[in-house]
Amino acid sequence: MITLIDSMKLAYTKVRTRRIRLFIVLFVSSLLFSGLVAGSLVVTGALNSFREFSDEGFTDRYIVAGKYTNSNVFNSGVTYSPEIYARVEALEKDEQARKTAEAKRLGIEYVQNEAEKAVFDDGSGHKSLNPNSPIAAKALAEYDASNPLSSNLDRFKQQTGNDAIAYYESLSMAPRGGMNNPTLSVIQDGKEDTATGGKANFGPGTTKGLDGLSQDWTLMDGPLLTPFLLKGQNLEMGKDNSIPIIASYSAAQELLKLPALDSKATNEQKKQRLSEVRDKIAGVTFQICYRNSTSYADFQNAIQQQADVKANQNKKDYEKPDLIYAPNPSACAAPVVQRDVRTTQEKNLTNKQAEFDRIFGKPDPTSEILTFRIVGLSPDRELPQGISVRDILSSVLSSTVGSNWASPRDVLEKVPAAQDVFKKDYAFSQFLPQETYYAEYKNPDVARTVLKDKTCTVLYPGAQLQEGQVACSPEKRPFMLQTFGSASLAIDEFQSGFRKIQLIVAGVIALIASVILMGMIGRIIADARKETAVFRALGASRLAISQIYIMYTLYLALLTILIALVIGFGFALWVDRTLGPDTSITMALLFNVGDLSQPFHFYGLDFYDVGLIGGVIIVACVVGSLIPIAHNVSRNPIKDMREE
Amino acid sequence: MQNQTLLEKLYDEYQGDISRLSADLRQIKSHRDQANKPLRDFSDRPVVIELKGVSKRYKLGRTVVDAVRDISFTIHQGEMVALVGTSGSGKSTLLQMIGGLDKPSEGEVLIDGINLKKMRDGSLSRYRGQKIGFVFQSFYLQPFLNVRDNIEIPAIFARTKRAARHQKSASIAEAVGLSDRLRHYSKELSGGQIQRTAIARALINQPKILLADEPTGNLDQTNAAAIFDLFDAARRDFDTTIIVVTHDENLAARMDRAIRLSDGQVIS
Repeated sequence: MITLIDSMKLAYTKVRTRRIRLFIVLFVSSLLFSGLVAGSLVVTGALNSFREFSDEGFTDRYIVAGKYTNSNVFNSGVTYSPEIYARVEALEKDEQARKTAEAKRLGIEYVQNEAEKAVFDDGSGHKSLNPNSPIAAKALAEYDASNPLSSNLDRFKQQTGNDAIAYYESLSMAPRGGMNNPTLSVIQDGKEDTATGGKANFGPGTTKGLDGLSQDWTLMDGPLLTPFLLKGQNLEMGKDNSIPIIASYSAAQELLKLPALDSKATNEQKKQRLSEVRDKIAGVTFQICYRNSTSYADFQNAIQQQADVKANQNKKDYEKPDLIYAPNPSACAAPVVQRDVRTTQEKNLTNKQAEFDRIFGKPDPTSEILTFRIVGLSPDRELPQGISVRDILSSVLSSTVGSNWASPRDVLEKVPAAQDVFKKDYAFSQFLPQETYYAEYKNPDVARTVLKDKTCTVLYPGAQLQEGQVACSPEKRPFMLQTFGSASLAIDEFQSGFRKIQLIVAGVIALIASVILMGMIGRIIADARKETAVFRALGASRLAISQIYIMYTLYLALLTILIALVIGFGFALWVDRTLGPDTSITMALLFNVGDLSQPFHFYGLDFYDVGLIGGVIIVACVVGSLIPIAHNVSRNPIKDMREE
Repeated sequence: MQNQTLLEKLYDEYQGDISRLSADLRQIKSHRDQANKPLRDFSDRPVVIELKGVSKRYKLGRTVVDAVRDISFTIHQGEMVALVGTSGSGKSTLLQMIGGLDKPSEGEVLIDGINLKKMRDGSLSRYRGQKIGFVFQSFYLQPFLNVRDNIEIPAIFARTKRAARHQKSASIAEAVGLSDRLRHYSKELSGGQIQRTAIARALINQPKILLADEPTGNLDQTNAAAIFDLFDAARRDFDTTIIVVTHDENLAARMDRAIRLSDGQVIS
């Protein structure tokens, strides 16, 4: 072998030959690789910017959420066990007997309403529980209590392993759609909104704006909320007993009575609006009327009666009810009696009916005005509806608290009404679990492994487990796991996916470049056959000749790397200059960042990527040169000399 | 003043002719000296090159060409031999077989008693690098290397250390009169300087045998005579055995002996 410096010197002489052809081939090869370089720079820059934009949210945190499936009431996680149906039917039978006896004692009539039945039977033997039946809820609660398991948090820790650096909890409002739940109604301009309170609740994020609070209020541990606090705000109850709450951007805008921006609003206008909302919303209070189920039923009855009277006021044959209620002029108060011409006997009967209802669990009417204080903002959490780039980015990348309205969990102890609002609903929570537990990890790989290997799937009737899925079970895996709040794992996943794609593309490009370079190096070597023969005559071994051409190949690789870097950087800078300014504003809005002037860049240097691409180029060049070199050194030098 | 200008003009006009005349006179003197010189006897010197019944056949398409046929001769150390013959007589083939670049189809080429045919490729490379110096008709200087680097190429392949290489190349360049041209590239050299560089390159490893293929083929008589002087100096200084393929009878006449080839056979 000859020395490195000598092989470099001799190889360099070849780089100086046939410069135009060499430049064209190098340029073509470099163009292929510059695509990789540009892709790496743009994606790295974008991901870095994503992370910077998300610093205020959860994006730099790796949190796994576990939805409690309440699956201990299921039989093997599929449906209620026959034991539960038997218990519900027994309880119902007993209660019917008691109700009949009590009605007889009070002298009132009692016939079971079909809708009150605790167990529905479709006629084919398939049974289901009535989600509004207090009897069914009671049976489920009893079953839960009689099959004690360790605390949910302990089981969550057990399921997710012990690698988390912190655990948190949250509680959602009981899913509501029936008669037994409390309501929350917005009070605007001193009037109770008659519409919002009765809306069905199908889970967080279903309604944007102020109305959403009546269906989408969540209590969470403080560390999950602090990233969203506005300047100067805290999560403590106010001196005026106001409840701290993180509001969605759309709700804040509505509270400030700012007209919605036109759909054609520019990014600059949106940015100004966000800035305005932020400046004005901190500490703003608003009121909500809490009514328990009885109070809400009375309130609705009064509204309905007023509507009936109004609708029939001109009808001659219309007979007004003996007892008419009207909504109280004061917001959130009990309805007032507008007309009462009942006989004493009728009044006694009504009182007896009320006593009967009280005996069988109907609560007394309760209502209360709750004052909320906005202490933080979170981007609107929306159910996936759109398929625009913005919608996808928003759902995948932005940091949210997972709910449009969120307060600290100690509100449950400090606000009595909250205990009713967040009470456990056994019948519905199997579909929309109220409790959620969170595990925060330092390492994204650990979080990803937990998500992949420790989750469970709720098997609804008729569904089947897919390969790799594990059914949720009360003893082993009661929690469905998912990423929470942040885009960290999504970004990491994307980065990991990008790396895989990058490797595949690099492999394909390397192959193409190898073929191009093989042709080019083959030509250069063929042109230099006589020189090789002369070198052999002057004492060069085959190894020395190979060494010179390998070194020549490395020169080509170096030139290719340099050209690819120059073109790649140029392209990335062009993308950054072209798309950067608009994207900066879009991302500021999307991520709800504090510093609205923060720039979003489309170039970022990842030394791993550059090293990888450089390595691929070197490999491509060396691979491309192997066959021509092998062919060249195996030739008889005298033949090449003779050709001369 | 006018006379002085006229004289300068005449001088410029006839300077080339005067130079050529001077060179011709030197050559005539050299031939006369050669003709008058007593024949040197090398029989007491060791045999360096021995060819025994060497034949070489090539296939050119479907035709088999007998380039060399049953050639045998010996050359002693320090001898200067001319291989003379017309084009296609087999002299270059013979040179390449002696240089280990080609192998005979039949017969043996022995260098210092070692049969080249039995040497492996690596050993042949070392043999060429250490014992053989090649001077090609077309010089084959590397255009992107300067004179010094060109001279040092065989030393690079012989893995001579850099400092020693520089010392050797400087010394040889001085011997061939290229000391002031070491940093020049071949395009900046005259034909004679290029050939001298090629000879210096062939001599840098102080080879036992110098093989030159038509070394004066592209040179005028003055430069050709200078090349012979260089060969003679190499023989004198390094005891190098020199074989020159040529059809230049003048050059052949100045060698110790000439081996004449025709149709691949030795005719005298």
